[in-house]
Amino acid sequence: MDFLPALIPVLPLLAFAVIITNGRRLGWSACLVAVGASLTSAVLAALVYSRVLLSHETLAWSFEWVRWGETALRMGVRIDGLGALMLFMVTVVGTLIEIYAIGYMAGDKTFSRFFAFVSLFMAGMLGLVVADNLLLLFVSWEIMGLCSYFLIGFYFHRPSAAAAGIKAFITTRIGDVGLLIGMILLWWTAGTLRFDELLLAVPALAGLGDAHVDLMLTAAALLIFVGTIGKSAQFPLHVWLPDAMEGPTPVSALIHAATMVAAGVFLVARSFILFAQFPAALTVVAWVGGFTALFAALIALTQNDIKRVLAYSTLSQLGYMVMALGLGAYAAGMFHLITHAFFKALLFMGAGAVIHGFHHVQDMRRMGGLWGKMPWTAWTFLVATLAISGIPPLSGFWSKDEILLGAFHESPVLWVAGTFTAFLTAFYMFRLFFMTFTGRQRDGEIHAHESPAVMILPLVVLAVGAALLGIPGSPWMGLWVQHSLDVPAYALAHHHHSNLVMGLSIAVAVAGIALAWLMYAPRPTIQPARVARAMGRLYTLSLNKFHIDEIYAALIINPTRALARGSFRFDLGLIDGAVNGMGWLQRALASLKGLFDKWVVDGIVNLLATIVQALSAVFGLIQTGRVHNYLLLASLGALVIACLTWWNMG
Amino acid sequence: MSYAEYLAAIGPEIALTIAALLVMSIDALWPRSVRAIPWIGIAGLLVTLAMLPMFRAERVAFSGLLVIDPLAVLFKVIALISVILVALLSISHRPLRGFHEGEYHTLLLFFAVGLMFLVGAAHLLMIYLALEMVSLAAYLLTGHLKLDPRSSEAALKYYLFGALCSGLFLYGASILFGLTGTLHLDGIAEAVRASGLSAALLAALVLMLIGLGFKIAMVPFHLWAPDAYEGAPTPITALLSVASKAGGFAVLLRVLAVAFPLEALDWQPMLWVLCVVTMSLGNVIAVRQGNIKRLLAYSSIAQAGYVLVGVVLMRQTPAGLPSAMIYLIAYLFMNIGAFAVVIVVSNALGSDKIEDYRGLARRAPLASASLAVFLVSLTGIPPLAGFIGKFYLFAATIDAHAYWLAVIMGVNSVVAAFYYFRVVRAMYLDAGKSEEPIGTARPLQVAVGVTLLGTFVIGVWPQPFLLFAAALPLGF
Repeated sequence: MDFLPALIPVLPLLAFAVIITNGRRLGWSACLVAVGASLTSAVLAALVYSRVLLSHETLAWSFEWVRWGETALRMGVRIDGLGALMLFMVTVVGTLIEIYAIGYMAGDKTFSRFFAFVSLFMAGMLGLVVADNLLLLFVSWEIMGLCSYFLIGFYFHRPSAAAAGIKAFITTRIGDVGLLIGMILLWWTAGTLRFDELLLAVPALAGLGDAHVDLMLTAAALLIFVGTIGKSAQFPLHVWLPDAMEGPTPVSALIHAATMVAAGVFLVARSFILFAQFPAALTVVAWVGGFTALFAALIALTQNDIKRVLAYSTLSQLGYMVMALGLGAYAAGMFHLITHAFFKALLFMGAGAVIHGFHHVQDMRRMGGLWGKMPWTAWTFLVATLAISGIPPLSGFWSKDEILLGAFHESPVLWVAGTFTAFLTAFYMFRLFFMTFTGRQRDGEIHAHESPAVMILPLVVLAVGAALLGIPGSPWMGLWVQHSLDVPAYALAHHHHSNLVMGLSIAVAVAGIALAWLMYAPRPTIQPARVARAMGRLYTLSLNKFHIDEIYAALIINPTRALARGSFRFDLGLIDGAVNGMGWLQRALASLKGLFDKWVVDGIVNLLATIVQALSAVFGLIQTGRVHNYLLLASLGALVIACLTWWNMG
Repeated sequence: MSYAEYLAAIGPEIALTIAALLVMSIDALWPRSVRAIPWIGIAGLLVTLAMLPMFRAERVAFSGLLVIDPLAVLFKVIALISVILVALLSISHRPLRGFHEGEYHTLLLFFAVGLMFLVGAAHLLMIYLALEMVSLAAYLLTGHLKLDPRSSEAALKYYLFGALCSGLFLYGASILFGLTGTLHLDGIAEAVRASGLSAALLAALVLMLIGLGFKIAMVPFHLWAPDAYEGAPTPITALLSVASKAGGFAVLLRVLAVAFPLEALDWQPMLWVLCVVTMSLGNVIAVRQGNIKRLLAYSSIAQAGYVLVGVVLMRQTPAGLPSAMIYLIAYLFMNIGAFAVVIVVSNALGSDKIEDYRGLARRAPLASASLAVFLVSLTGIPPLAGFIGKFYLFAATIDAHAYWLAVIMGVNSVVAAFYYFRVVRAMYLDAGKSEEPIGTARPLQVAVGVTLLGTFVIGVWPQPFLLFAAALPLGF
């Protein structure tokens, strides 16, 4: 039973192996293999979750992986309340998205390849959740990074998709390197990468009061957080996520909204003991998260591509989670991770249904009036929009409120920023909703249609989740979800309920929706164009995403290219200049050097190769093919051996 | 101990013998059931393999003729796994199909029976009998394709060479008997310790070494190997290069470790030279081979040289013997795997020439990728089984301060990389004449899958195999 969690990532891995080797033969039924595997994983995850919930114990199973003398490295799985909840969320949301993708990807020539990579992705994500040490977590992390690259660039014949894949790969690589160095520092200082041993080792080391050790561990924490910044797309490494929308929409829903990007947050939660011991690191986490939340929300205000608005909203919501962890509101952050996974997957899949039914147009300015044509999509989308906007009693309200409560007690500045972000969130989400679903269709040439049942069903299931999942985590049920996480004592920041925080958060959400209605209703009271003009520079800044991409191009990408070009020219110029300037002497030296190279350097290499070849030919002669020669040689050999041995022994 | 108890000790061997007789009878009585025969044989082998854990309690049977100890059990596992894989390869090897298959698989099973007795034999007479049983089955299997002159020629050369070597082995054994008055290995050790070094003792050792060196294709008793490997049906080439060799190593280890105490006769320098010569000559000659079976023949001579490193060092460091064993286990998977892909290609193209491997990656992507993995593993590159094997061998040389051996092994690995990568280059970088896809029969897919899995698992998670290999006290 204890190794049961280890099976959960193995099933999708097997599905990947089966599909990738038999893709052509399986054809359409590839999706059955993938869905079957993740559905079984989901059932296993439910079993594990119920067991962990009931007993409040940690399931752990590990084996000795490799041993060098006294040092043994163990590999295994470890499921506590946090891991069990994550497992449950990932398998359920993942299965629903795979079912949805059956409809969305239908007719695609690379149908089976898609399901192969989604299965591999699931294996990576689940491996990361069950891992009992940072090494296994890192391996899974990299598998996900690879899948993400493949799936963003899934339509690789489109240059923008190929570029987005490369951008994501390189940007997250920076984070991965940070994580790797952090792991090495941790191994060096604490001597272990296993989470249960770190729980004991880190406080012991911190208790020493050795400034050097403290410095190392703080550095390790910050470097691990760099991994989070990359994977969870926090400022300043957020630039890859909006571009990742080039991938098929189910991928956006699964990887770039519900699960993979949450892995960064999960990483901080898993290694929270490090952060908890070093408040400096925690402060950095809180501010990076708070800044990203506000920053991304500001960009989301003006975007016109339906998936990009959602992408920036993902950045912003991830910012909330990171901020919560940084403020010590560990349980609130993880609770928000779960509720966000449901409503954001639903939003993306709803957007996918819109795009699917709207003949792959993503510009909201051409949409409108889809309410009548896509009733199922519209209703479920409304539920998700209300949830993310923080309207009670939907799930997003409870988790966001918990985070803001934490901020209210810990850092007033971040509380104000978070509340303002909540206002912006309600505004831009309803802007999206009104532009897409209400009024009249602005581009009359497209005939929108509702999606097939296989796509609608997951939407409905997710909508139920997005609506109700907050209840178990609400004060009505005594914050049951948060307590089920087995929050370790060091992360237990208990905040008293505050009516001010809750009331204000409802008020700003309603205000945001009202403002969106005034500006984007079928007959707007305030013309958006006038507001844009009034905002002037601010509007263009937001529209152009604060020019971050251009700044990176100017500061990093172009200088790197220029440096490469310059180095090349320098090389070229130096050799030319040297040759021209030094005249025949140089030429003579060069030819001497050439001779040296040819006869000595290359010569040695070639000589060795020639010797081996020649030896091979000579010894090959032994093999005459005549058996009496063989017998003679063998007997002679025996004689030589005997004589040599005798002589050697004296 | 009663005779019944002796019989109970060799349960797996009896089961396998029954399976062999069953296959023979079915073949004779119901000739039309020929398609089922290989599977019956494989089932018998699997049952025998499953029985081994129950028959691993250490004991001495038949008045010391046979022992059941960790070394014997370990080698039985290696032998059975390799024979099972070879049986799988044989099912799909085109020239063998429909050609006296019943006879072929019966011989294969008797070969396995002989091997199981060989690895547990602790008495010179028993060793000789088992050695002959294995060799006779091997000669017949090599020449099984009697209508193919190359197969017959290979069998004849193998047989003549084998006859000489087994005669010399017997001669050495009789000298030893004359010196010590016993055929039991532990009895010999006592007598040798008492009497000390003599010219006759040295002669006995050298003569017996020839007989065993022939089995493991050690230079200069390797001369039969390239010709026999090239002419034999390819599954039998795999069998000779792995199972037969493993049996030879088992006896070599037992004879050297038990019967020849170092204080009486220091065989280490002699074996050191033979080990170095074996790996170097094998690798150097492999460089110029144009036939993949010949290339793998020379490569397997060199690989035996690597295993000998562990044997040479077994008295100097406790890491010696386990490192030889882990290398042998890794070698089992990667070498049979490579031969499996060779069969895939020869089934489709009817050729074993390396030049015909050009452009194979486009025609058979999975088979090419698998062969590349096996060759990379044979080179000793992480994260594959061959790397783990080499790593532990290097660790053993460092531990025993045998730095020269380490250097020579390193140089040899570089030379080996050269010819292994030549095949990889042909498959991936050279353009082929045809683009027509090549299919793989199901039993071959299974064999490639199993060997690939073994190659990866040992490379990524060697710990269970290390524990398995480390359970070998062997007369210390």
